[in-house]
Formats: sequence, C-alpha cells, structure tokens
Amino acid sequence: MRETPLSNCERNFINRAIAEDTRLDGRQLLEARPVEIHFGANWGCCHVALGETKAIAQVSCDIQQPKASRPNEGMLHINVEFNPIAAPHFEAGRQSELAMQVNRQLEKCFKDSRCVDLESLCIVADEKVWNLRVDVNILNHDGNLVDCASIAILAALTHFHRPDVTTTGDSITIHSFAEKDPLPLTLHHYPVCVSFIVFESGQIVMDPTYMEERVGASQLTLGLNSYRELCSLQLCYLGKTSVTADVVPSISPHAANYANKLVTQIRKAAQQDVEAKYNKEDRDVCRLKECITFGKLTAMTKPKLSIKLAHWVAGKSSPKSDMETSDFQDEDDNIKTLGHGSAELITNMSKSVGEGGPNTWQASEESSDDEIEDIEILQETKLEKKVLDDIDLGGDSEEEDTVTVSKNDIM
Amino acid sequence: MQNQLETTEEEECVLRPMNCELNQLSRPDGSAMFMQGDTVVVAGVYGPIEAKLQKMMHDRATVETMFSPAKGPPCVDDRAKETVIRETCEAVLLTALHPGMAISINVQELQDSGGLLACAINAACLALIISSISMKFTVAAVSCMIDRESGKLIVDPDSTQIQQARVTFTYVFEGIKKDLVSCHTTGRFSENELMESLEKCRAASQNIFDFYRNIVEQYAIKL
Amino acid sequence: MEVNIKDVVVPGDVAVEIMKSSEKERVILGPGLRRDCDRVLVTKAGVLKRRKPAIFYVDSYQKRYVPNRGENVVGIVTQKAGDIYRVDIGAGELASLSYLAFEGATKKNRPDIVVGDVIFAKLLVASKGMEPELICVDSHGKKGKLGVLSPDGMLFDCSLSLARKLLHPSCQLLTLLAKEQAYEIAIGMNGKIWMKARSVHETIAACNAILAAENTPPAEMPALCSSIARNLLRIS
Repeated sequence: MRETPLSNCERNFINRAIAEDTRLDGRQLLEARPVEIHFGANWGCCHVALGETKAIAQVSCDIQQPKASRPNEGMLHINVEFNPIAAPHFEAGRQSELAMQVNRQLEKCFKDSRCVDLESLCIVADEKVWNLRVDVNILNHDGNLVDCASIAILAALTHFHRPDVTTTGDSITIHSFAEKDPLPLTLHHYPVCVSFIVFESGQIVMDPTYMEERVGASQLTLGLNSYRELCSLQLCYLGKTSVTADVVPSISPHAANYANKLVTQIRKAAQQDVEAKYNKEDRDVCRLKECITFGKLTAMTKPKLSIKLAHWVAGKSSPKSDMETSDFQDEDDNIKTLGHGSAELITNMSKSVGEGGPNTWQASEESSDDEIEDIEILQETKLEKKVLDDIDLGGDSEEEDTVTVSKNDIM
Repeated sequence: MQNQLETTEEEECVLRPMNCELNQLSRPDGSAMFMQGDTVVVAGVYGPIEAKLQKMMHDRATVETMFSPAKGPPCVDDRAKETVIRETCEAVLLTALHPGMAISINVQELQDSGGLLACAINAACLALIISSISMKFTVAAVSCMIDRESGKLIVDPDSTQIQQARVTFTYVFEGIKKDLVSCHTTGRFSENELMESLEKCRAASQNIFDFYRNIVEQYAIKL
Repeated sequence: MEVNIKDVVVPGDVAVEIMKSSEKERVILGPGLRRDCDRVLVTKAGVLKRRKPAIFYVDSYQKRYVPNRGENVVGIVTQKAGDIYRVDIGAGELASLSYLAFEGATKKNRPDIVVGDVIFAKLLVASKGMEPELICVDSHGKKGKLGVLSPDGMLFDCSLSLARKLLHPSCQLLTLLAKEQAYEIAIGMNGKIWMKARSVHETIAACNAILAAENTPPAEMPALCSSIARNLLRIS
C-alpha cells in the first residue's frame, strides 16, 4: 500500500510550529522521547519503545568458519527487518532503500566501530568461530527508526550470553546452560545513534517523529559512545534544500551528553535483568509482560487458570483400536526434527504416500517390535514443500511386513 | 467416534496466564500484544486496504499474512505457520464484503515458550476484533501435547513440557458452536488420543472466548 | 451467544431481539450486523444499539475508513489526472473528485486546487467494488460548507468512533471548547480532522483536547471539558 500523502497544511503547520520552538508532542526542540527497555526470558531478547516507535531485537549465535581475511575473529551480523506491521507502506520480503540505509548506518555504528570484542569469539583459529546475529524487527514506525534500532541492538548485545565451549584436541563441546554458566560478550565501548532533523528554517530537532521526518529538510545521525567518541556520521538531504552541514558542531556536545545518559540507562537496565537471571530462582522470568500498561482500557490480564476438564475415555473400543493402542508402545514415538527450519524434498515419486503434506503416520498395522529399528520416520511438518515419503514394503510373510522409508533415495 | 467416548471423571488442567494489550501500536488499524505464559506475540492488522494488482480478486478481499520470527530470516516452519494463520483468518473474515481489497495480517514473534502457533492465532483474532473488520465469528486456538513417558495429556504446555512431548496438537475452534476450524499436529497418535485431546481443548477454548468478551466489554463501554 | 440491545457483543453472537421486533415494522440492519437465514448475526465487536423505530447497529471502535454514501469526509488531494482529482480519504482506494463538482465550476473556470490541498467533500458514490466519488456541491449546486480547507490549519487523524462521537448532536465538547477559544473545525467521518485556531499553541491544545475525548463516554464530557479549560487557561 502506498504511503499516506503529506498535506500542505501539515507541512505548513509543522514548519510554523518549529519556527516558534514548539513541537506537536510538547517536547523541547532538543529533547528526546522517553526510552523504555524490557528484556525477555531468553538471553539477548529485548523490546525497546522510543515513544511510539517500537522494535524488538534478538541475538542468536552459532559456530561457523571464519573469514579467510580474519581467521581469529568471530563474526557479527546486523539485520533490521522492516515488516509491514510497522507501517503499511513497508513491503514484506523486499529490502527498500530506507531499510538498506538503516542497515548500513547501524553496521557502521556497531561493526565498523568494533565495539564487540570479536577476537574473544574465536574458538579454533581459522576453523571455528562464533557467529553472532542480531535481528531487529520494527514493530511500529513513528520516526527515528535508526535510534530505536540502535538502542535495541546495544541493549540486546549487552544482555546476551553465549554458551560456554571447551576444546579438547580436535573436538569442541558446547555446554548447555544447565551444564555450565553462559558467558557474556565483551564490549569495548557502547555506541548508540542519535538523530536530528534540520528544518528549512535552520532549526534543529532531536529524535524526530514520523511527521517531522517527512517535513524536514535534512537528516543527521551521529553514532556516539559514552566516551564522547564519534563512531559514525550520516547526513542525508531529504529534499531540495540549501541547508549547510555546519549543524554538526552546534549539536554534537548536546548529542554526546544525551548518548552518555542513554548508554547509562541501557547498561543499567541490562545489568538489572542479567543479575536477576543469575539468581537461579527467577532465571526464566519474562519481563516482556511489563511492556503492557495495565490499567489501560485496552489492556487485560488473566492469571493462571485452573480448569476442570472432563476426562474422556473410549467407551466401546473396537478391537481395531485396541490394536492401534498396542502399537503405540513403540519406543520410537518421539517427535523427530531433522534440521531446524529446513525441508527435504523427496524426488522419488514411485510409491508416494501423503501427497498433500508430510506423512507423519506410519502405515504399520502389523509391524512387529523387532523390526522397529529399520523404521525411520521422516518427519518434517512443512506445508509448503511437498514431502513425499517413499515407502518400501519389504518382506512378504504376514508377520514380517515392515515399512521402510529408504533414506538413500533422498540423499 | 464421539459417542464412543464417555466422560468418567473431571481432571485438573492449567492454562497459562494470559495478558493482552490492544492497539499498543499506533500505525496498524488494529493491533494486539498477546501473551500466554512466556510466549509473546504481537499482531497488527491493516484493512481493508488496496490490494496489489497481481493478487486482487474481484469477488472478495485477499487475505495476506506475514509471520516473522524473532531470530533469523523466515524459514519453512514460519511459512507453514503463515499458511495456517492465513487459512484460519480466511475462514473467519467476511471477505465478500470488500471485493478487490486486501486485508493484511502481520504477526511478529517476540518470544517462543511453547504454543507459538496457538498464541499467534489468538493474537491475530484479537487484532481483527479491535480493527472492526467484519468477521463471521471469533476463533480461539488451544495447544496441547501428550507426554512421552506418562502418556498424560497436557493442555497449553510450556517449553519445558514440550521437550517431553510425544505428540503436539494445535486446534482452532470457532466461537458459535465450538466447531473445529483448523488443526495442526506433529508426531504420531491414535484416533482416541486425537478425539480426547480435541474434546479437552474444545472445553478449554471457552476460557479464551471469555477473555475476548471481557476485553471487549472493558473498552466498548467507553465508546 | 444470544444478545440483546445495549449488550456488548463479539462477532458470531445472535441478536435475538431484532427478530422479535421485525413483525411490526421494517427493520434496518446497520453496520456490524448481517442476516443469516432467519437469524441476525453480529460481525463486529462493540455495543449493540437501536435507533427508533427499528434501526439496529453495532457501535464499534475502528480506525480504517470504509466509504459510505452521503458521508462528509476530509481528504488530501494526491494527484491531478485529466479532469479529475484523486483524493486520499484514508480508505483502501483513492476517491475521485471531478473538477466540475464545485460551485460555479465550468469547463473553462476550474477550481484552484493543487496537490497536497485538504478538501472537505461529500461521498456521492460509495459501493463495494467501485471507486468512491466525491463532490463539493449539494443538490442545489451550492457549496455550503464543502470545498478546499485553508492551508493554515492542521490535519490530524483520530478513530472513526471519535469522529462519530464528536458529530453526534448531543455531544457538547465542541460547544464547550468554543467557550474557551475561537477555532474552525472540519470533522470527516473518515477520522480525519482539520482544525484551525488563532495560534499554533491554541491549535495544538484544541487538538489534544479533542483526542482526549476518545475514551470518555458522553456523560463525562462536561467534566472533561472543564479540565481541558483549566489546562488551556494555564497554557495560554
């Protein structure tokens, strides 16, 4: 869907208001919106609200081979998704120009400033390193996406803990959180982005809303850390304008002060939650609940519900269903997941079962228990890709009727 | 099959606490943050809006869904969830009222701690309710599982319980007669287990419908 | 579930009372209700209401506008295409507005409208599957209150239920507000409000006052107005 057009009266009004040092939400020109940070139960999961602009970040990690140019360094990927939930004109699955620009700005701020100690993420040089991935999903777009995303990324990185590993010779063991305490990341410094909008009149506004972004003449984003060091800088002209770039020196002290305050807030919030999680009792406490403003008309809570449900049993079970039940004594009943988020396409169509979707049923009315080892259930519950189980009926005698899903056919 | 089942006794079941805030997001036409225990989902609905030319249908509205996971690019699992959500919402919406338009339903996972699909469908339903798009009925999704060792049926399991699951079911019921709208299962189960879990989830779904009605009562009074 | 008038309803409820009253008079089903064989079903969540003699509807919260014939809306001109303007009224589709649909307009004498202007217009055509069409004149060829709105005002969005509430004859908010300060206002049924006051501060204050009425039932309106008046006096 196309963006709602900006009317002339909105443009005029905002320009006039800014000229009078007034903003629609009652803020000062160089005042940011309040920041709220909430962490989830997982490490590195956080929800950030910058006024009405909201984003969620999640850090994840896996082990990969390092880049040949940097064999003893881990990797960091930052990915900001602009889903249509945030604004109707965002399109799903397509990187818009804005998305690319925001991604690049954040990469400059976090990756190129080398704030994460990547060397400590090396396990075996040239072979295995940790690969960190930060996914930011924008939930609501009310301007200043860069700042909101940068706060979310910094909070998530500060909060994130990776599993511990031990190397014994060639083999690596990744310890689960239950075995060994997870380790936090080492951050050399804490950068955040601070954005400004310069209006045609030369007035500068901090933390612009969506409307102000649309009216403004040029946009300036500074990446700053708590040591008042500049990590990245971006100035982009939004329209035809003659505003010069001498705005940077006039606002940089204010931006540095604000960045310092913001970083302190983020670190404090993260530290509080991390400490609570170290305390074993409320390790799994999910603080995302605090995102909800209870007491609001549209908010509602319902405590844990104990309900009485009638217990259903088979009244007149037919002999056939008896057979079925006995069948389920197999030890092979577990749900098997073959590779997360993947689907396997089986090309051999000769004896296909379950064309509509994956066959999770075993046609095993007469299979005997000793044949179970030969049975492999290929179980992928993917609806989009057609998974066809190739079933090979081996053995002719009645007792030895087995069902084999030949694995070789699909490799 | 139903008449073969008999009730014998009542059994204690626990539904995780539910928390919800409607219209937390300013941009969508209707949005809901919905939590079932620690599973948190945000759904945002736009509609009826302009349909893309290649997806436009002249006799009814197109339903577009988007499920985005908290981490990583969307994978096949997420596409599968998207399909379940879309097909459920298509059954719910009176699409014939808005020919040539589109209704876009976007679901964002914040945290998965069991029963993500059920939570996503409930959030989408709440977002549709607050957006006032015409619906045939409301729907409620309930997940349940059968424990591997004890064979016990657990309604609305959390992530630690799901580790022990032999089978998981997600049922979606409609609000008028509590008929089944859609169903998603993983694992191997018998016919009896299916029927038993279906009946239990049907009974449990009433609590979610009550939740919907309560929240509507709370804000509609002020209209 | 079976529901009666003034009940809170959710989609799928059966409105039993409507069927009982239907024997006497002609029943009109408004938004949020549909007939299914011999039952009346609810399609929107809200409060079931009745207007005499037998008009039934569901009062619901809504943000996205669905055009209805005869309603007055505020829109933004997005495009000039041949002899029509394309106007965004917040609905799924752009509405069309002929340049002849203005008072005194002829082929030679075109109205002075540029892209980005805000207009107040009436919906002439609004059926499903058809492009909505706007006009800025009444049936006598007079413009009345319709037409282009001054570019000095401010445009803001609200929910459709708030727009309906403000336009309700019994709503005193606008009158009470007018006692405090002078302003011009155009409220569209599409949830767009254009407002112009003497200064920027006054406009912002009045906009906030109106948006604060969102969750206030009509009975509490005077209380809200007096609190706004206090705040306004403090600001100005």
